[in-house]
Amino acid sequence: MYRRLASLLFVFVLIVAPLARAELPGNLTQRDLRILQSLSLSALGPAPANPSNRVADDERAVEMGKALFFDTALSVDGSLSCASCHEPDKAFTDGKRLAEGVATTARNTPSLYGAAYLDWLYWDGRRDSLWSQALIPFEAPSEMGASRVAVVQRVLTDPDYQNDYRALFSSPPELDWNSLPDQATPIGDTARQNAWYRLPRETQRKINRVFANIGKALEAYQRTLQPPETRFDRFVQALSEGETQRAGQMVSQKELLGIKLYTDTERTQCLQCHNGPLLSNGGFHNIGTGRFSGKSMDYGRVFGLQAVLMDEFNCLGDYSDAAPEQCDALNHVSQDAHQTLHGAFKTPTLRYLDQTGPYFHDGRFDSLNAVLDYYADPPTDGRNGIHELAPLDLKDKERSALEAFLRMLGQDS
Amino acid sequence: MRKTHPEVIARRRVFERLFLAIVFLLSVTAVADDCSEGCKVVSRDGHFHLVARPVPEKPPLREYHDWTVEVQDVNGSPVDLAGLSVTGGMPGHGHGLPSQPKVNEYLGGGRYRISGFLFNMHGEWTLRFHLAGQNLEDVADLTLTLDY
Repeated sequence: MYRRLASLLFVFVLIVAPLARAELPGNLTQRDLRILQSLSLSALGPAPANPSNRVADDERAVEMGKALFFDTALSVDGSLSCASCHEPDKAFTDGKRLAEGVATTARNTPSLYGAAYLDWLYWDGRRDSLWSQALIPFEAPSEMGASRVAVVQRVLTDPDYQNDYRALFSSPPELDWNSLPDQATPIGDTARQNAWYRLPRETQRKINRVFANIGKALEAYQRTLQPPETRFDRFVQALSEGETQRAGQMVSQKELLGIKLYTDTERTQCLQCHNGPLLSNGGFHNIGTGRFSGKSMDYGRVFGLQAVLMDEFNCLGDYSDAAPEQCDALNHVSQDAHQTLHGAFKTPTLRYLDQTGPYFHDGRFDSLNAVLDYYADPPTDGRNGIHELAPLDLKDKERSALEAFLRMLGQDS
Repeated sequence: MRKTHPEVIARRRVFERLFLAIVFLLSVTAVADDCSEGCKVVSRDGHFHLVARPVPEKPPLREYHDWTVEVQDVNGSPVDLAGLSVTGGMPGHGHGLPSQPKVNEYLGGGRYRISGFLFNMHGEWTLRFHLAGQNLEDVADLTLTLDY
């Protein structure tokens, strides 16, 4: 009798004990756990190689790029650097609705954390690498307002940069600075453009080559900006290690409800676009926020697509280090300008939202609450009524829980 | 030897046909999975039979990857196509594919390697293969579902 009872107890311990240990907090299922693991930084891995930049992972380029990133002498009036908008203590954003350079720009500053993992840069994907992206702000009239001639001159006449440049890219070209108009650029007002287009093609190519290399050093630095771990990542790590009790102590019931809602693709659809360890699929989606008329007109991806195809600094261009067949994103870019691309913008990361507001491509919302309001009641009329969203139908308590989960992804959560 | 009753034979035939019809339907209906095992599709007008499969067994999310497509005619002979292209998207979200897949290699025996597939969302995706034979054109549709 006792023997039988002992056997039963033994079987019970064998079967039930592991089940009890595997029980996840907050009614999370094994599927939920798989989703959470896919969102965790442990799933991120190293940044993918960029064959268009042969110095992308060169330590010397990282150092040069870092110096360039914080160098205000590369702006038209010596007051602005890349870091003026991409502030390190704000997750490399600026806390402003719209970025402010020499003038106010039309877009909100995105975080640089995880930018090395993206196929497309800018809210409309008008650039296909971090190095080609880094070149635009130097010359954009509302950003740093300089010119490629001025930037190249500054770098090639500075002894430190000169040494770095030689070590990384071989000897710089011979250029007669006295004869070059320092405001010559193909971007900006007519006078600046005329100055550029009057230069001999060979001179333009020499300047472009150095300009591209400056971008490549900047990319090398920005590739080192790995997304910092958050409480959410530590929570998932504990769950993955079977430390369910410890994991349970790291989150509130409210946050657990928020997590459950985020993984519930019937109740919420955030995961559709905000997936993967960066909580962004890196793609372009229309959520009804395009502006199709007026001063702040912004069609998003539909124009960004044309821009990246025409960009002389793209992966297939003369200044790229890649063989043509290595340019996966550009070789396979979808040119199907379907209706939803009009007003589509790149999915931003949901990491570090505590640092990166205001939100959306034009910084239209100051708070996460306002963002969730928008998702609950997206536009239904006119061109903005054509989008991919289904209204987010949550009770107040659930909405608050979802927001609590998003805050777990904050840098200081 | 006892002769089988004609009624029994007729019944067997009905069952056989029913069985074949089910097998056929199962083989041509767009398979609601991730095509890891290969998705079998018959083109809309019945000119071509396709087996399409992602090259990594499970289509990865957010990564460019290849597929192979094996094309046969109605007699099961490999088809040397004059043209093959792919379109598609997510009807549930009203958008197309985030990339443009392209044929990059003919592997022989009616097999083609297509590069540049990219899926960036979980859920139901449709793929439409546009097939141009020497004298015939047709399209083949399949649906695949990506889940965790």
